[in-house]
Amino acid sequence: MSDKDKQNGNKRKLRVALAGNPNAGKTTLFNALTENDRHVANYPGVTVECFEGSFVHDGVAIDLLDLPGTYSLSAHSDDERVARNVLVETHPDLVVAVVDASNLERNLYLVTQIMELNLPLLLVFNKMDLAEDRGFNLDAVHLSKLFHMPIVATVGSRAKGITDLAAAIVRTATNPEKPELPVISYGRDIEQALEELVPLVQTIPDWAARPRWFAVKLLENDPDIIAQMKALGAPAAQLAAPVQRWRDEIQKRAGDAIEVLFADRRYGFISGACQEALRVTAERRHDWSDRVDEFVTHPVLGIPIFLVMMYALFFLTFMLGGPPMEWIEGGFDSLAAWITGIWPGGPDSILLSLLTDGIIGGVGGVLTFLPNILFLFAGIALLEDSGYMARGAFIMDRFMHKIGLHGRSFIPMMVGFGCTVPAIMATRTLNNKRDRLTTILVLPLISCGARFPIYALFIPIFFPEAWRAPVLMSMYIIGIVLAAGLAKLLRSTILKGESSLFVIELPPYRMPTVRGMLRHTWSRGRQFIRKASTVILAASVIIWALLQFPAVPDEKIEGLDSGAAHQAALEYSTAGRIGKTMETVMQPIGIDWRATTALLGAFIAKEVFVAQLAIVYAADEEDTDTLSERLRAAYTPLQAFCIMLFCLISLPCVATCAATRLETQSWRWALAQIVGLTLLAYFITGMVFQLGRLLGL
Amino acid sequence: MISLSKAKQGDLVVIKKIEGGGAMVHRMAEMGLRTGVQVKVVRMCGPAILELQGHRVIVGRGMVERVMVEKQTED
Repeated sequence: MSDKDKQNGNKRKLRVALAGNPNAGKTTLFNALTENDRHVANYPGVTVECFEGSFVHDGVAIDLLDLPGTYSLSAHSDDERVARNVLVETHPDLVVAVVDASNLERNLYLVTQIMELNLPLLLVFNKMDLAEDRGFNLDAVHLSKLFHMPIVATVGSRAKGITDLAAAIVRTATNPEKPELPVISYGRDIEQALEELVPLVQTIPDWAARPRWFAVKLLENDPDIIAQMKALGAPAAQLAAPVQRWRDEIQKRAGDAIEVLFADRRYGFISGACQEALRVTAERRHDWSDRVDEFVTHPVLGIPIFLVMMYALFFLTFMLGGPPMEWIEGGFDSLAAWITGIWPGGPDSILLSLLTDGIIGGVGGVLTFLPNILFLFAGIALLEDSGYMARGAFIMDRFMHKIGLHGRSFIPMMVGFGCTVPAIMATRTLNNKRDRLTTILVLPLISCGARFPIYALFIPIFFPEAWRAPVLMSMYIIGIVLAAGLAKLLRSTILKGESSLFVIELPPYRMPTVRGMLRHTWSRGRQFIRKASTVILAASVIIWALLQFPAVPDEKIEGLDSGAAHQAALEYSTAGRIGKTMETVMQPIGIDWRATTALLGAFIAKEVFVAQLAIVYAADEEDTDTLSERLRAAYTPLQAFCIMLFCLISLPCVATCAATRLETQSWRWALAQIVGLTLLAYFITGMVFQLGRLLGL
Repeated sequence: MISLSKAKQGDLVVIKKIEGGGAMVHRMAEMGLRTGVQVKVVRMCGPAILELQGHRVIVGRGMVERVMVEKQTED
């Protein structure tokens, strides 16, 4: 490198973007290049995260941005949108396209689309060892000439070729001569349309830098670019008519969707290049990954294997998450006790109650689940990174198809048994909006971990030993059946539409890395803490106020013991009054005012229901014996079952509502979920109660 | 020409037509599945696993029916 180049490089950091298909080994290369200097880059409005890092080679500092892995640059998913927007809007000095050399044609499809953006490009042929194993003979020099861009060969998994790659990045990014990239010809009809459209696009200042790319996107009916066109106003909007005319004309002439024509031409370019520079010298041997799949994707054997995997996931989550959960719980208890101890105003202070009962009780109660959630996310990351998730989705697709969803929706459903909030966040892997919405709306019906304390309280009190397991099981099964039924109903009514596009890669199995798992676990766990805790904080304060105000006058609790005083205070509070007012509505479904009042607490977090019930029954929270006796005296087993049923179906907790709001970007859906599920709960619980009474239960 | 759902495990087929909207055609193309491509049916039990150029792709139950193929006799 010349001194002049070095000076150029030193003037400012060069910005380089790393693009490529999922599973092409992009992240491994990113980690190898950037060593330790990495951080997450967020993009407003979407939930996709990119990692940014930097490195210095030969005295040149490079900022490296790891784009989300995508198969193309359309606007069909948030990942693609982020990758594309970064490339289009930030003009990086160089784009490094990482290509899986053992799957060249499909990987080059993305490259043909990056080429159209007219940014300097460097090709990396990764997984060269695998390509050789499979008998692919690549003539990189020839391909480099055909694509007009330099090519570096690497084996990311064994850190081979990393120095060459760093050198090539610096050399290409500092090269003042930008090579002319090849232009794909889309055939006579499309080229004719482009001839008319490109000059029109050129008159729009925002688009003038890449007229051909914008014209192609318009013809492809790209939703984002069409929206941009409308937003730009007069000169751009004039394009709408000729674009539509050409689309119709071209599709009529070809007798095929215009998308087919574009894809064919892009692949045509790739096949042409590969025919000249790629020779396959051996048939594909079946490797161990395929042999494992003989069992794992087997139509019959695959199901028990799947169930074992899921069982292991939950067993480990709850077993490993248990002890730290107790530590956190103990920590919050000690914190509350400590604050109470040092509080200057004495134990009856309202502010103290807000702090300990409202804030620490509410937020602490939810954060207690953090260890479980982190272990669950780590387990899911393990299943994803090892390649098993794709197999699980394949196995479940048959069943999910019956309720109008597809295999991928099963993953959030499984997460839902742990906690609904991360489950709703896990729906991001669904690329169809209607599928995603349907899954989010039915997810609260999957009985989450926080409902368990409710079942654990009621079932032993009201049911004989032999009935306990079946009753517990029935709660879970009712939830699953209702979720399936509701999904089917939504998909055939308000969320009707083309069943989503479930085509995914079946990657070979591979060893997950600790680093990768930590990265996935942390990025999701962080969102849980940040997003859930802000809303939960606000809601906890509101519910606390409902339970606290108006305060009971002193003369009413004179002479009562502390349990009875608590009860009187609750009865006097807004929550207690709501409970009593609601009693007429709730009685037909077997629920009295006390349980109704406690249900308001369940809105913070489902397990708070138990604590609230203890207060309503003036029992010491720690002393479950008293509570058990009083509950046994107050309810019949049928009523107990109805209360559990209502807790299962109705009123998703505040954190769930917040997650629904965030993920659907609309309060409307969050409200629809609360109201819809509560009505459903009322209807079903009412049916069960009335039928049960008729049967004399 | 038959629907892919009628193909059996082990069959070699050539994709003839994808009967779906632009989004489906596009998604299939992203995964390398387009007209004229020869694929091997590795699994068929509602959803399918297809092998093309040494790589495997899952095609969901809902899409399998909309891919029209022609069986190849193995030579």
